[in-house]
Amino acid sequence: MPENESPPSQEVVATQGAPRRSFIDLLRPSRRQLAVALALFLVAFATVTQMRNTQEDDAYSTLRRTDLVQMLDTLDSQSTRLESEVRDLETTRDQLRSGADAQKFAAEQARKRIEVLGILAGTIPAHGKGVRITILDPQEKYTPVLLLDALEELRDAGAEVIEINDKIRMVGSSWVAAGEGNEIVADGQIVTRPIVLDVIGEPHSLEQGARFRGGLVSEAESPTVGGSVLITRPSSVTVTSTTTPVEFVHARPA
Amino acid sequence: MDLLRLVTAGALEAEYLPPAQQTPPTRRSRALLVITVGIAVALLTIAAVQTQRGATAAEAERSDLLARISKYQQQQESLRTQLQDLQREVRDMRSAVVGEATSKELAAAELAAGGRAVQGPGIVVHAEDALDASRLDGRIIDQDLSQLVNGLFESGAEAVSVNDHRITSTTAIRGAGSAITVDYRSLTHPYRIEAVGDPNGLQQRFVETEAASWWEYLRLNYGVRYSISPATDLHLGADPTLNVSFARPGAS
Repeated sequence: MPENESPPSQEVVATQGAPRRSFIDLLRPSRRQLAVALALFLVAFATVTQMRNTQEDDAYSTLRRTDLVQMLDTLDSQSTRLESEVRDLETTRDQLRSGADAQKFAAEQARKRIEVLGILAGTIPAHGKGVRITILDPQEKYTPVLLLDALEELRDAGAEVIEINDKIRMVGSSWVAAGEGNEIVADGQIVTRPIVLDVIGEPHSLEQGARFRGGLVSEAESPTVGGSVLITRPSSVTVTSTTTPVEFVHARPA
Repeated sequence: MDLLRLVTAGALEAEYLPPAQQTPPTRRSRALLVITVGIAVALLTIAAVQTQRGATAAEAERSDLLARISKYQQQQESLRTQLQDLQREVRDMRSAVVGEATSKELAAAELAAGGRAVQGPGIVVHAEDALDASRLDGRIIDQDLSQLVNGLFESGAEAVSVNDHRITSTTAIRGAGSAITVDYRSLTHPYRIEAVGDPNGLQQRFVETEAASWWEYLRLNYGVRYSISPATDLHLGADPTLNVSFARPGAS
């Protein structure tokens, strides 16, 4: 009986030997295998690093260096603005706190604040430094969407007051839409051509904003529109038109 | 025939022969191998170093710019909070000393300009880039959002905010690279646009605006996702940065 059993057991050994050998091989790789492993490791590492670098590229990855610098400029002036506002308010608070003539001072402060808010809400006329932009559009190809883009660009460049054609005051709740045919409508009024924008704000930034690559000027002067743009910097831009603020029916102070 | 015989005879390279039949590599061939590999490695290294150096100089400048931008943005965030607190403080102190009439007038002016937080019913628009965000066309850009806001005001919205940033007359919705900024602050998607007003009327009028057609076009052609839902109680914060530096009241 033992003689009969031995051959199968040898077979078992033989079949078990193969995996065991490959296991030992794994533990003792040849030099060539080591080289291949190293090469694979390097390639994998480089790929992962590359991918991570690509991913780390943030939301601004499509921006060129000049765009980033421009963005930094805008942020810089915005910071200065915010800082000076904080300083002003601190002075106001301190003066209100000091008690001396507080009532008179408070009344004056309130009046000034009402004026500032009135300028922004478009309820009172305003004047100041700024630009006058004339968009000549003989083919009437300038669209409401382009006008909306132009408004956003001007706001981005620090526009404080915007008026269209000396009669439509553009504020936060303003809108533009297409009228009949090529007509442009702003806040329910027809915008006749040429379109004249009176803008109060830092004149240099405003003009730069309008002339920025892909901006107001290049859009208006593109072959599709075929218009031309004239920008002047009067010593003072006067905006006389006013608007009635949206009536709050559903919104109430929180 | 000689050529054919030569080819068939030498078809098997020496390296493929059993080890016993291989001619051992000569010292010269080994030296040649070492030199070749050495040159290849050196060339690759030089190329890699040069690329890396060029890239790091540009990369360093870029990351410096990005670092400064994010520093500014953080700084401005804290300035805004500070401003909001100061405004509340000054408002309270002021209303304690000025008459009721002035206080009321001031409150109304603040409300109209967007300098006061508001609440009320309205609609909420949820907007998100296409699922396949690798397609540039499927990404929502600044003009899409400004059109949307424009359409909401056209539909009679009383107050609008985008990702909790209140839209006022000085608010600019702009693009900076693939990011959209509102008042110079980058937004992260998804976008949530809230509009206070009559929920039914707003929704009915909005679907007739060009903004609605545009967004429908984006949805159908580029897979941009958006939905409108009514809301009973929305809270929209104030814009703490309402101020002017150049505009003066009155017609000169």
